[in-house]
Amino acid sequence: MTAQARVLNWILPFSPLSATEADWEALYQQELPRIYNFFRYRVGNSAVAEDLTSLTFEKAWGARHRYRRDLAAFSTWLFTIARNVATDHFRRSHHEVPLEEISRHAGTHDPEAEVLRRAENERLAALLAELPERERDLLSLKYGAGLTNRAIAQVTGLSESNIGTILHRTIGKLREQWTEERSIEN
Amino acid sequence: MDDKFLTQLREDPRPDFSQELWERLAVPAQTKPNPTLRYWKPALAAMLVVTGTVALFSFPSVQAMAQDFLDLFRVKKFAAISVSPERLAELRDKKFNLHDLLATEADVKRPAEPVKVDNTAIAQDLARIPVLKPTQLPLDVTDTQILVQEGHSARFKADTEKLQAALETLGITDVSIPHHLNGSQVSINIPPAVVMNFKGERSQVALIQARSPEITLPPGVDLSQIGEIGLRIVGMSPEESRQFARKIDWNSTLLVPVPADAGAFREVQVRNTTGLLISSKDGRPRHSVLLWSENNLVYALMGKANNVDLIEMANSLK
Repeated sequence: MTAQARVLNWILPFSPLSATEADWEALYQQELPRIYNFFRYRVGNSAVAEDLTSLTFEKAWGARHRYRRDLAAFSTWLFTIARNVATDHFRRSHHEVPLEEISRHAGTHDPEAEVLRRAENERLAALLAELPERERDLLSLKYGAGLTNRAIAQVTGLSESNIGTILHRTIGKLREQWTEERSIEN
Repeated sequence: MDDKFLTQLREDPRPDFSQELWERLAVPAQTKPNPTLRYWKPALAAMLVVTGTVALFSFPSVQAMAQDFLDLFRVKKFAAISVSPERLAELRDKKFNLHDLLATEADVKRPAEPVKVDNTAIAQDLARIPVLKPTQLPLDVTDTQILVQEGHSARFKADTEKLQAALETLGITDVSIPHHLNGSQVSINIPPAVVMNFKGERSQVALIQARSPEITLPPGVDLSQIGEIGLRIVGMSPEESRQFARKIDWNSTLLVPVPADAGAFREVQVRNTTGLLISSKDGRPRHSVLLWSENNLVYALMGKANNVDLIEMANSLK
């Protein structure tokens, strides 16, 4: 890096020329699992989640020059794109994607445990599918992507306290249904 | 509230999927940038801050050699202008990219990577400038590194058609573009620079010292007019830009645009001259740059340090 470039890089957030080279590979590695899981929770299907994840990153990559680190964290910017991708997806498909293969990736060699895990995942996915759009969106950001309430507020434009209230209510309801179904099974 | 059950759907993306997607994304990202653009980003940016964006396109005539040049830009003073974040976003959204507009006609001598040297005497010989050292450093500094960046230069041709098109995309149609300068040539000379890096557990400060960059202009350029166009591009109203352009000595003032929401700037007294201190609004310590000119040399002291320390460091240079 030239000496002059170093000066510019320090002035970086100030210069209109410095739409700036972020470490895109590091950002990709960091954000991919979050975006992917956001979609898994949002659409309930791993294959569709992969497609929508690809679409999100392709859009983000195509518009990298617009990303301004002085205005928003990269993840906030990326999740804004991801939510738009999800909205487009639901607008196009007009119906919920079937809850298939929600636990496609076996995490254990114990067949019995695996069957149980799959059943639980399918049950949870079914509960999520019943949620209204807004609640499912927030839960996907919280539990799929692992965002904090503050980060969710930045992405959605809702207030942090509003998000806390909605999530609290929704989780309470889900918890009830989850326990209820379990006790019926038992 | 127990919400653990809600996390159980999480899983890692398939490695194959992750790899394939990255390969798709990385192809355009790894396309080598035009070396001209890469190396000339600093020069182009300097040009922007010197004369406003437009000056780059509109310098006169093709007989580009020394005796024909009556005008010369050398940095003697720094000044900052506040730019609205909306305007900066607009420049980016509209891909207002100087690199693309200018590079095609550029004739560039590229610099090598900076060379690490053992002491300031060697740096002084290589850079052919008197090299100053701070006698006051942040307490935790344990490592000092000295590098010398060789000089480089470029010449390029102005393209007023592209300038006009770019202005139109910004909705600026009321400025007078000096079309007679189309195809004229501008030379930029960036002299060698000495970079000193000071690192400690917490501190990270760099000092850069060099002779002033020089931009050689053909005769008859109305820098004030060109500067005014540049100021319009960064969002000033016609009246503001006219007034501001009149106040600036465009032959010796390096103008630095600072987004209003991202940074603060002020003039400071440093080493018996007036310097420009720009600090980010966020971060502890803040990122700051202190710029000043002294004895025909320009200095930049920058790093994660508080402003008082930076100024004291600058004042301790010997």
